[in-house]
Amino acid sequence: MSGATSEQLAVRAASGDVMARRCFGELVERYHARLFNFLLRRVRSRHDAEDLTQETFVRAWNRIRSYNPTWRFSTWLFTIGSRLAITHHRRSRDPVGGNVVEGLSERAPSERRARGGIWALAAACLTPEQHEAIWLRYVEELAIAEIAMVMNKSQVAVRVCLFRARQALAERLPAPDQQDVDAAPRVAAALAGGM
Amino acid sequence: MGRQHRGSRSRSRHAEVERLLSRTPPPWVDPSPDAAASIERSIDEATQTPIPIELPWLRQTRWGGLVAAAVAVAAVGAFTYVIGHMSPVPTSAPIALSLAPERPLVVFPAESVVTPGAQAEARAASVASRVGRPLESEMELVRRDTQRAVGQVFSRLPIFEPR
Repeated sequence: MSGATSEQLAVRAASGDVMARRCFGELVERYHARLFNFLLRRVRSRHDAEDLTQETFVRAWNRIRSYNPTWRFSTWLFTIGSRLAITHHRRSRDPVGGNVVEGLSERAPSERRARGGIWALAAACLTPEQHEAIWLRYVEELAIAEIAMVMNKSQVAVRVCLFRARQALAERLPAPDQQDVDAAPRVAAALAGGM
Repeated sequence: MGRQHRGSRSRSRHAEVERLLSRTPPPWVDPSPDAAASIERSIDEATQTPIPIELPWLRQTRWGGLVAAAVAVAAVGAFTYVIGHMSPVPTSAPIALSLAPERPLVVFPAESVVTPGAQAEARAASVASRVGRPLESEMELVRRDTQRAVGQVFSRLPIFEPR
């Protein structure tokens, strides 16, 4: 079962046979940390992110029969998670995806942010929407169409969002002195000086 | 020349940002160790509780709500159209129940409701006291009237119009 793709496992889980629950357990194991880290950037606390992760998996299990295998399972799962995060923000009346996440906040010490490199810069200077698009593109490696599905936007809007995010990062990233140098010290300098 | 230089520099900065984003691992936070077990427990509980009725065909379409609303409006419109064409029922074709008053089915003598003895007498004499057509003929009349009324109603619908 461990050799099966996530999509195969999801289809098996949707079939409702005796192995369905076990297949879904395997999916939980595969995506738990990834979904948690994605949601951690959308909500303000670790506790809320864990609650949302749990809620996302329960909802996915209840609606596994509506999963369409033409889409990647991760796309479907992250779409559910993203919708739940929006609902969570509406309930708590907070702006969507504030950057004040425990352990990742812009108030964290600069040396800690420097370790995150470009991602710390992204968390500090991008809008929540841009950060979500960047995360889905470069961490989850989703295609533009898949990001559009997760964010409930058109593909053009996603492309524009990604372009603006990269532009914002490029403007804040200091010019390289050497071509092959590691960017971490430059990012640290940008975070310490420019924010 | 200057614009070209700026464009080229911008492209190179974008490429560098893209390279950094692709190569740099994001700050990763491990979920708490008992979180996975908690998720498994929640899923097991959800499995035991009944799932609310859903309309998956509504959720699979992006505009599911809009489609459902349009279908509902169309259904109400069709219903209103049919009802509008069915009423009023033409008065020239009285429906079965409107029997003419001059043709009562059964007439009991007035004294039959006064005393029990008279009631028994009246019951015995009821067949003899019937005025007008016999019961079978009345039923035949009712059937014919009904057929005529239904035929007139359906003939008003466009699909039943003769070619």
